[in-house]
Amino acid sequence: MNWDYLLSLFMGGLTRGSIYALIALGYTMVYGIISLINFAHGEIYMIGAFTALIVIGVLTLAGWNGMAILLIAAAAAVVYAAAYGWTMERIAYRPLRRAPRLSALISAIGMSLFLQNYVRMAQTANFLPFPNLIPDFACLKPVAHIVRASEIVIYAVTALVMLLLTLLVKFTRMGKAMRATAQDREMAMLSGVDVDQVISLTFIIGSAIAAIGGVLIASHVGQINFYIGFLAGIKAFVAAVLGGIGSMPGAVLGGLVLGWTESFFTGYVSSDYEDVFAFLFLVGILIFRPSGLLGRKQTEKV
Amino acid sequence: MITPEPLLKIDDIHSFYGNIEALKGIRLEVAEAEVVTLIGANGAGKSTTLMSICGLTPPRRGAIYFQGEPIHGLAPHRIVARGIVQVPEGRRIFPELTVLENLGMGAFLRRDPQGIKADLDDLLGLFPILAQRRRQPGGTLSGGEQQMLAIARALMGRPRLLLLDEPSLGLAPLVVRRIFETIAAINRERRTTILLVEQNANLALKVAHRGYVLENGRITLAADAAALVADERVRQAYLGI
Ligand SMILES: Nc1ncnc2c1ncn2[C@@H]1O[C@H](COP(=O)(O)OP(=O)(O)OP(=O)(O)O)[C@@H](O)[C@H]1O
Ligand SMILES: [Mg+2]
Repeated sequence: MNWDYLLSLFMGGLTRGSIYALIALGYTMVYGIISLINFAHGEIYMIGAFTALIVIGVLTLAGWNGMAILLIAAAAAVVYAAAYGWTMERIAYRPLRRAPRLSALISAIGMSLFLQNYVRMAQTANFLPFPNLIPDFACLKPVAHIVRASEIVIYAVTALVMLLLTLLVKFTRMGKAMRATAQDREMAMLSGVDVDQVISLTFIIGSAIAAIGGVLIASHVGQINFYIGFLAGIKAFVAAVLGGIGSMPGAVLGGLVLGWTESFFTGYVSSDYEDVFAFLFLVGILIFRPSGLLGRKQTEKV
Repeated sequence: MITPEPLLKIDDIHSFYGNIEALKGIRLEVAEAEVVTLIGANGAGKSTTLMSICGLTPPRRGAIYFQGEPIHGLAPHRIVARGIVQVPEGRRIFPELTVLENLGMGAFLRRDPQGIKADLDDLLGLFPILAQRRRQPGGTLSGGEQQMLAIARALMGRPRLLLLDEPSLGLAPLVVRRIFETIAAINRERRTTILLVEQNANLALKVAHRGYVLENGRITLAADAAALVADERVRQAYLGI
């Protein structure tokens, strides 16, 4: 048994899983509040990565370098993606709030296609190189074949995001309003919660987190195009369903389980079917455990 | 009992579910510090009246005034901010929030931490069972405990007008008595104005000063509680006498 190889697959799975988890949080939060699968959520992640790329380009021309660029680019990506998420809810979902659920779902698919094609036309259909701005620390040299510095940053940032999100949802006034709205929207209104505001906030937070994932993975993989949000979005959706859609710990668990499964499968079996895996998973969950690993035991009409 | 300027004045409201007209022109008034009850059969439109006041089924025609100002057409959270708090039918406890968090939601719009703390201690004293269960998820409480929690949650908002929708529903007689004693005490001690919807007209007319009878989306009778209790039609239809 090659332990280093096993460990590298474990780390690789953790990397993928962290990114899936970051995106899945947005799916699950939105679903929890308005019972909508926001199919355009993956596109927000992609737009986050593109925003960062553009900002990095500009700052590089201006003579900046190193981690400072990445931080500024990530901050810009978060703000920009959050603005997209907020706008998307306003124009594509809010007008359909009282319409049948299928209408909002179709609107979400339309939004996804629109954003993909908009970025393809505004940028390019080709892959663009994304600079790796996270230096390979010297102390990591001996384990370079197992884990890279950019991955360690991914783990750390993901953990931090989750911690902050948990604190927000558990202890802040708006966090309580979000939980109350998810559990009983009308009663939340009768308690004085401005539900429109809660929904907007949910889109803003979910989008900001997806953008962080987008920037992190782009910097790790080294290239992006307009299509990355589609596949990552679908997989994160699978992760959310796997964990139990509507459950935030479930999204994280689902992301990690999917990441590790993919990583070990491609490492030990075959890399040809890497992307098929998520879909097999989805079918399996829907058949055997539709409420997901940590979901409430009720059949949801998705 | 009607003062020149009632706290709540509902003027000929018509409310709909899709094309179904559930309220066909309701008029009623509630004066400051009064307990008014709304009685009527299943489907008469009692809950719809309360939901119309709160803005969840806003009337398509007619007007609602609170403290002399129109509130129909305001978003529900703005109506709550005026001081109108409802304990809806079926309690509607947030199942996964703890008892304390549920109580906290009742004070969602308040910004006076000291006052909130004082009211919390007060209410936990009034309902000791809630104090015992404070860290338990609301969904795990019994029906009677949930009803007490629902009332306590509403009181955490320091309502000017408290709307109660069938607080006795599905509860044991002893619990019902506790709850009605509490309602009477809230009105007596805090001078909170109450609009009470009840199936149990016997009980409702004991605590209420006045009452309205609602049939098929219309008010068919309005009188003092004593007069309603004496009314032959009311006795037959709602008091089971
Ligand atoms: N969500 C809804 N959609 C359609 N019709 C509704 C809805 N809610 C209530 N209705 C209808 O509106 C009318 C009034 O209902 P409402 O709930 O106000 O009655 P109620 O007096 O509170 O009855 P109950 O004593 O059974 O609670 C009924 O005919 C009912 O069928
Ligand atoms: Mg009712």
